[in-house]
Amino acid sequence: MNRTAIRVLVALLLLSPWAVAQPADVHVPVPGEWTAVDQEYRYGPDNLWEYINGAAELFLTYGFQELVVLDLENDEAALSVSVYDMGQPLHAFGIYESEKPADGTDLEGVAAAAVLQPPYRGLLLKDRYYVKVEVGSGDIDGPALEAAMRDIAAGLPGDDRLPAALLALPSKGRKPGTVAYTGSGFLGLEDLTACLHADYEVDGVPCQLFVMPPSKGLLANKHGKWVVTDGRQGQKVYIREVPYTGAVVLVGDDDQLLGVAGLADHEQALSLLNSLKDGS
Amino acid sequence: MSKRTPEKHDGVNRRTFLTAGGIAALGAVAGCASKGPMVETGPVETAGDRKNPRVTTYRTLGRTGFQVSDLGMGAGSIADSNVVRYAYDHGINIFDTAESYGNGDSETKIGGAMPFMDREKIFIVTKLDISEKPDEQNIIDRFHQSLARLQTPYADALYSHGIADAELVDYEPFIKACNTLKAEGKLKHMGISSHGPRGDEPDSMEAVLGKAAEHGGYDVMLLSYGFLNKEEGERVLAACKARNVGTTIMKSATGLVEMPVLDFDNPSEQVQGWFEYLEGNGSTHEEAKERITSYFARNKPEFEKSYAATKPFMDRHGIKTQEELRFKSLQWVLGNPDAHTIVPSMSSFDDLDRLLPLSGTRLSSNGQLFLDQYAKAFATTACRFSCTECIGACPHDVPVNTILRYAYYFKNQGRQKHAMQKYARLAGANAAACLDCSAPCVGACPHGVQVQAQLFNAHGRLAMA
Repeated sequence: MNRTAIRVLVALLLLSPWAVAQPADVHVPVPGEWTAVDQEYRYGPDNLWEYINGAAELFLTYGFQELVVLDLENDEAALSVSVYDMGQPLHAFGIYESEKPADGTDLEGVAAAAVLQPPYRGLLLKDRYYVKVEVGSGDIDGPALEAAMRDIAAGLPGDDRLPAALLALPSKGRKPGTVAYTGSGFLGLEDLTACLHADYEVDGVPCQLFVMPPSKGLLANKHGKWVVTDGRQGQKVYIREVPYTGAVVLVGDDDQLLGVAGLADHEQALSLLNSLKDGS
Repeated sequence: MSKRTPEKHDGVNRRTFLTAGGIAALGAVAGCASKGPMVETGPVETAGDRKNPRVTTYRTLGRTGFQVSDLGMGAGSIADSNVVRYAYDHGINIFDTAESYGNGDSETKIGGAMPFMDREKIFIVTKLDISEKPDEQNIIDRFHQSLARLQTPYADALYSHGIADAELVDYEPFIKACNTLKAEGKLKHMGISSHGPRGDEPDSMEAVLGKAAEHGGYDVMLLSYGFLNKEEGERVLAACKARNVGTTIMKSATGLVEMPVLDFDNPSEQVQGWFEYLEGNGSTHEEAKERITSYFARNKPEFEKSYAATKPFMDRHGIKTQEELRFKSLQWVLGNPDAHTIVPSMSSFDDLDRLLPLSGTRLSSNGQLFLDQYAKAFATTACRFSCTECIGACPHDVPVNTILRYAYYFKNQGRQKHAMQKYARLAGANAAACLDCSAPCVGACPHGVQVQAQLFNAHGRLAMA
């Protein structure tokens, strides 16, 4: 069964009663010089579509838990603040990186990460929360929007640092600014879920490295699309040819897999993975 | 972003047609075309070439004149541009995206595949939210950003996104922006999408899209259509056919036929899906097992009841999995040539490999019979939620569809606390008003739902009365 469909179905039907990370009772912080226009509105996995249409689908693939929305105003402008509780910092990081505009302006020192997307939007990441601040009407300049975002970030609970899980990726050869997290369908393969990945250059050759927990789909290999062999020290090796990408190779155990895509052949990929696991 | 107020009005639901057995909404969105041979009907239940599946059927997308693949790509959750390229290489030529899908990331992913596609042979739809009533220049500026992400000098269609207020069909800045963009050669067609009412925007899908069909300026539209909302969808399709408006279909894969069986040694597909979701979100296997066990224990009587009601259908027609029902639902739509293309969510190569063989197929009589019986079984007990036709019959302005949706949360989703809280926060009258009412709502539901009886039942659950 389509895993996206399973995830959406599970989220719609059944998740709330026993969600792993129950939604915290978070409220939208009201920045200084702003006042709330109305009450907060809350949305769960079952009705997120009511607020963001088909964009909800992507949020569900990142483990979305709850959205709290509050409209604010001051003498000059109106803002709409949306706080998405993604359950885990890594999930919030993933959706933030996915939605972060390429042409935005990064803001230093605002939560774990923040960006301005002129003229009408600011995005920020703090702990398990992904926040959108959107200008509804009126005039507000970049510094004023940044100040509001800074206050909102300060009022949210949690850690101001990037998720510690990001350290799982090897640092050698990694291209700056390319670390991302994909909830499902990494490289277009539904068995590659919860992948932390980045672009690398190894000995002058570009590739992508990623780490992930073993997914059920990969372990089951129900459709036989993966070639599975025994690797060193009881580890498993998974290999699959992917359209346009070439070989994707993963090595690991029951806890974590390290994978590579974009290298010319399996042997080269396996050699690289083994050397990384050896720490060389 | 518009302020949408579920507490005040979340009776309307784009996710059409929740049934006693489950729910829909697995489809996504999309819409567009390529210039292949036009074949209006395909073989019955043909599995296609599963080793090298590709689109076999193309249809004319109304007055756009474009020949679109009967299966299009809903691009709401694409993780890799190569999936778009793969779809194109297998005959899909209509791609449905939106500014809001991943804050433009979906458009960027399609743009990443653009160098590998013949631009003239594909039909790109994108959408903009206009619920905050932006001015013309804002719409034009945002559209230009969409084009940049899509890596194309023009889009084939721009839809106003998720319209639930029929007045927005005439929204002048959007119409003017589209005309300006068309004159500049950056846009070919103006379009519109609707899923029915939501939040503080109350109009049904039929009210919105029926008006859009008559408007004359909308060349193409996106609607929800499936065997469980057949009537409303077919009225919209008929209006489009009369005016030669192109139709693209979303949210057609409905229903849940597989009830959970808690056997951890031999877990059902559904239970495996639960494990995968929970473990993928950080639970250990044991924690997930505990949560599933607890949830199952609380809801076992409901599961057994629903499963017993559904099983005879599945036995009779050989349907065993949710995926089979999904495919049959898609085939049901594919069998209607007035639905020019269907745009389910396609997020992986594997997904495409499973869906592509459906192109050009339609249901056999057995499959049709199954869906007919499935629909009939739940027709008079399941509120459609997106339909508001009974509302005017109530002298107390009881929000019937909203309350029955809360009852659905309570009964079918096991979210008792959530449903009761929502019910308690309802503004205005609740179903207590029905207790001593003479029930002028009798017969008001076009689907035969006994409104007052259902509300009695709902009130008993939601208020613990």
